[in-house]
Amino acid sequence: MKRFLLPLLLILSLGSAQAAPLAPDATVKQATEEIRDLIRANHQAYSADKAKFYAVVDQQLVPHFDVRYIAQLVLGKNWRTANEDQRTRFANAFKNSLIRSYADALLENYDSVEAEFQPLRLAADANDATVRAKLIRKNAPPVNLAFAMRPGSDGEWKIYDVIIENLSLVTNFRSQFNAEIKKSGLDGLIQRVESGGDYLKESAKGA
Amino acid sequence: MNFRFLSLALALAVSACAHTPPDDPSDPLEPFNRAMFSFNRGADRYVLRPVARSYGEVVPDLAQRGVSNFFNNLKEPRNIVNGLLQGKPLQAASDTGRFLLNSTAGFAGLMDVATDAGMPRHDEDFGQTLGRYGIGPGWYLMLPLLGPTTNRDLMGRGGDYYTGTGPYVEDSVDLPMTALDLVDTRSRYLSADSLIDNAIDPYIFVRTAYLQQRLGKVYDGNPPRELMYGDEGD
Repeated sequence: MKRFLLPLLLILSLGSAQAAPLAPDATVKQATEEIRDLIRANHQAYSADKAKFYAVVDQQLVPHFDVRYIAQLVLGKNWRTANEDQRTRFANAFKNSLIRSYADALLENYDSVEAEFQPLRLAADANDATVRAKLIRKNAPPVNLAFAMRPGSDGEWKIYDVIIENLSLVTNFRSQFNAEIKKSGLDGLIQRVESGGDYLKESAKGA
Repeated sequence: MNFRFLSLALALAVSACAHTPPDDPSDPLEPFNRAMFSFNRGADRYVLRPVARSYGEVVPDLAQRGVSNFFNNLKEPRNIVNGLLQGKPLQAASDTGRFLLNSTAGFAGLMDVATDAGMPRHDEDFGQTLGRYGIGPGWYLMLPLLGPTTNRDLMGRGGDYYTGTGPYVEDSVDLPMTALDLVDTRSRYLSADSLIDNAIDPYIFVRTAYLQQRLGKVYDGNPPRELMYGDEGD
């Protein structure tokens, strides 16, 4: 009996391994490949119709991000006092503004940089992972990039922060938004973020 | 008497060095810092940025790389000493190898042959060493012309003076070298200008960026979560 038990266990564990979600680094790699293939095939159409490209990014890339958790981290202490409506509105507006701010850069640079992923060692029961990569550019030093990830509600690994050369997207926005909340309140901030991705640029004129 | 005063000042400075997350730092001098920040941006706009821009356009890429390599090589003693102080003997040994190889086969540091030989560059300084010893950044400070720093990193700069060229090279040579290093470094950050200009509040953007970058360096790219994110809102 014992002789059969081990192979049986092996088969069972193999089966469950196949059904298990992709590893964090494989998730990022796959998402990158998918969006690059899409841009490669449809570059002209996307450049002509930005709204269409934003929708593609929303469908293809955004599911790999934990939007709600990002919103929570970005608001920090202000998340606790926000009500459910404010939380949802902020998360949605922030997501849209990020798409608008970064999709254009993605469309422009999708083929000029190569990502070199570093091997990831992860305990089986880990609930937090940092996927590290180097962006290799022509005639310029490489850029260090890291994706902070954790399992989402569907069990798949989701990105909750992008860290470029030690600078965290979450921390950058949090400090900026904190100042805005102090000035005009959480609703004021949400309105500003909802009014468009250009809020990043408009403010520069006053500085 | 002098010594007693010095140690008292040092103790006060260190006790002021609390651990604070980069997005919510201790910045009691903010009004002064903001004034210095706008002064620095003016000086940058009218002096440093134009010079760095022409430098980037006129000097060939290869020569620029030589200049960067040369100054990086002069920083190896600082990397070695602070690597040792932070308990990284293997890294310090590798940096010693870099310094020897690049100073000779790399033509006085103009070429970075050590990286290709499998000895990558590190970046250590005394401010990071103090951070590793558990000293937090303390107050954020914006110095005229010298830019952003903290209580801790200002003390670190004092220590770095002794591992730099300052004490060993005459001022008539050291000052022009420092100026060239500054222009060369600035030219590599020209692309970051639009990030600062487009920020909601450029002062806060630079403050957060500086503090995050230092926190990352103290922990070699792997800062503890509670220092990085602070209040996570849950």
